[in-house]
Amino acid sequence: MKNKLIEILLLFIILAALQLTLINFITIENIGPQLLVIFVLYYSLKLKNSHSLLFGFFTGLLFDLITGGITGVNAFAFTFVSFIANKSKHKFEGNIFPTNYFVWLVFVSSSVASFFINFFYGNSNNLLEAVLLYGIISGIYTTLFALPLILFLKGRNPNG
Amino acid sequence: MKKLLYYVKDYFLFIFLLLVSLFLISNDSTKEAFHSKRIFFGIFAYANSLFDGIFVKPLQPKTCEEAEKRAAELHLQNELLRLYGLENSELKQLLDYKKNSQFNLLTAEVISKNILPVKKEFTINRGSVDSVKLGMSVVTNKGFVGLITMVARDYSIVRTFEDPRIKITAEVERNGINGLVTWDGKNLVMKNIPTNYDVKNGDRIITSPLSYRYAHRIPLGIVKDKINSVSGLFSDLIIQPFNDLRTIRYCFVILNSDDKILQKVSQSKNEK
Repeated sequence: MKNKLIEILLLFIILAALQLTLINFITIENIGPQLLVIFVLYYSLKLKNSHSLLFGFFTGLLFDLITGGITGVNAFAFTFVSFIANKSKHKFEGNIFPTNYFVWLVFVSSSVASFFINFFYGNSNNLLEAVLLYGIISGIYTTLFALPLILFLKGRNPNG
Repeated sequence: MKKLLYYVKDYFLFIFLLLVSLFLISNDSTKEAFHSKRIFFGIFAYANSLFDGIFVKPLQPKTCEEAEKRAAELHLQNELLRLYGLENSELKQLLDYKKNSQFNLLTAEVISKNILPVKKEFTINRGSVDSVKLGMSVVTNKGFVGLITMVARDYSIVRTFEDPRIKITAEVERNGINGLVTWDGKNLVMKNIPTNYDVKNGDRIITSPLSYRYAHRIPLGIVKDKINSVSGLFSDLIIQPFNDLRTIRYCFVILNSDDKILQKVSQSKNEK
């Protein structure tokens, strides 16, 4: 349990560092991959329902405090991601990892998270633009970055 | 019941966490949070407008009309009280002046103003029944206003210092340099003061003790500018008057003028 916690914490630090440094170089007009969304989604699928919601919220809050942006924006977005993961858990109860569904889940989750983050930061005053540009395109971008993880998990037992 | 609670627990927690996030966002003091706050305010206002219709009984048209009428009445009353307040402070200043003045003053209200450029005159609500006579000086607590040029039973006409027909014998208070002050259509001017005389901007100008026509030592204004003539021998002093004639509502008539010439003029005019 303790090792698991350290693993999660270390992974969070690495991904947060990457998000704040390297990812900035490939972010165009505030559209970039959301590494922490993949992280939150993956662990939310593994945790219990209420735990996963708290996990999403506190991960977001911690990231907000680290970045020094608007406190609560990432907490809000990641709580949503955890909630989506909760509602999709039944698909991961089989013996084979549902790769296609996971791709779809990453896309939806990152789109929603990206939409909320950009919406709260006021990057777009147009709702349609916020959904299409910051939501869907950013979702596709994040899904591309999740491909190594998806390939790694392909064919594995999701409960393993 | 327990099952239901277990089922909705996640939803409650989810909503609670979202509300906490929104609370954190709305309490954020960074510059970026301004946009978020604007969104929240808009959502709140919209929700409020929706609930207003449900929980708050809308005003009936008749009640609205009455309320509008009452609001208009209150607005007018408020304006009137504000006016009384201003008038009160003005009257207090005048009373102080009257109390401390060496002259015997008669308070008068300006009831009409003639603002023609060639004929700037006031009508005041005091006349011969109040012992007002021709040629008496009219002042306020700030200074000189003009001269009584016509007296009726209940009212009088005051020719103000902005009337081009008036000529005031005045002097520079600091050193007693005398001159004639007139209104040139734009400014109050003391003309033909020798250039070598010591007059500076800001010097006070008062009515001269040498004058037989006006009450003595009534403040007129201050020197605003000094314009030299082409020859360079004389200069004109531009005077900024203490009184703004557009704002005067009350004034005083100086009753105890002991000027004999003035009394003679007054008598001869009355005889005519």
